[in-house]
Amino acid sequence: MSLRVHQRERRPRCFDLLLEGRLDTETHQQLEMKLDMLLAGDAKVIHYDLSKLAYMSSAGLRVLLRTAKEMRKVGGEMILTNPQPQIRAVIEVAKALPGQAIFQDFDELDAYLDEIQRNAT
Amino acid sequence: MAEPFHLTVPASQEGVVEAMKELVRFLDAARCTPDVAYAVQLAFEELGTNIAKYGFDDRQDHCFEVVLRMGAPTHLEVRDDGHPFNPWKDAPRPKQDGRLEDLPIGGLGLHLIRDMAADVAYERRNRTNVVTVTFKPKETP
Repeated sequence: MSLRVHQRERRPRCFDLLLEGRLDTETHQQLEMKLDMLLAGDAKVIHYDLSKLAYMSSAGLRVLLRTAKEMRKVGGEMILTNPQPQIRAVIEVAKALPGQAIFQDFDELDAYLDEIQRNAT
Repeated sequence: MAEPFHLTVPASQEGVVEAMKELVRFLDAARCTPDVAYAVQLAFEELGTNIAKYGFDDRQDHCFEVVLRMGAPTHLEVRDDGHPFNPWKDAPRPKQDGRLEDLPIGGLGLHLIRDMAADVAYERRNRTNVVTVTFKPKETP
């Protein structure tokens, strides 16, 4: 009953966070701390890879909501990929992230990041 | 029908975390559908956390009861003897034009349960809050 967060910088200021395990009351602070570090480091895009996330409760959903809010403030973006069906249901049923980018694979993600980059230049 | 899962849980965050481990073991053995297993865990965590945080007005140790009856449908019952609180009526609900991120802690979890469950109910019985959540597997097209 744990959460592992694997981080890498996919592009400059664009961070992948692969979440593995459970994001809930017990583990959400772990991700909050990681998020605080990335925000302090001037992240522009935070990409959560949800392919290995087995469970997420409202405590976890709040971290995603906070990420989206913080990224909006700095003109950045939060991106989600590969949610398992139940996780997707939590996100969609709660209508938590209207208009939020959710991609099914990394090709879609990369194409989207290319587009953001093109628009920024 | 299989024996129900019945647990007395200390009304604390640690109590809810430990009970969740037992609940997950039970659900794995019960081999129910993934959507029901997920929704049961979610409802237990959200209701249990709310009781641990807000259910009691004193600083003494308290417990609450959880009973899970698997079947078609599956019923989760959570009972506590804290102050009267109907989560389906008394908790804050999202405004139509409001953002969910602005909901107070607790409100978001209850909103998720309401949407994932087939039915929710509450009654105050013998100075006890009895909250029931009913789950049905998703119909496959």
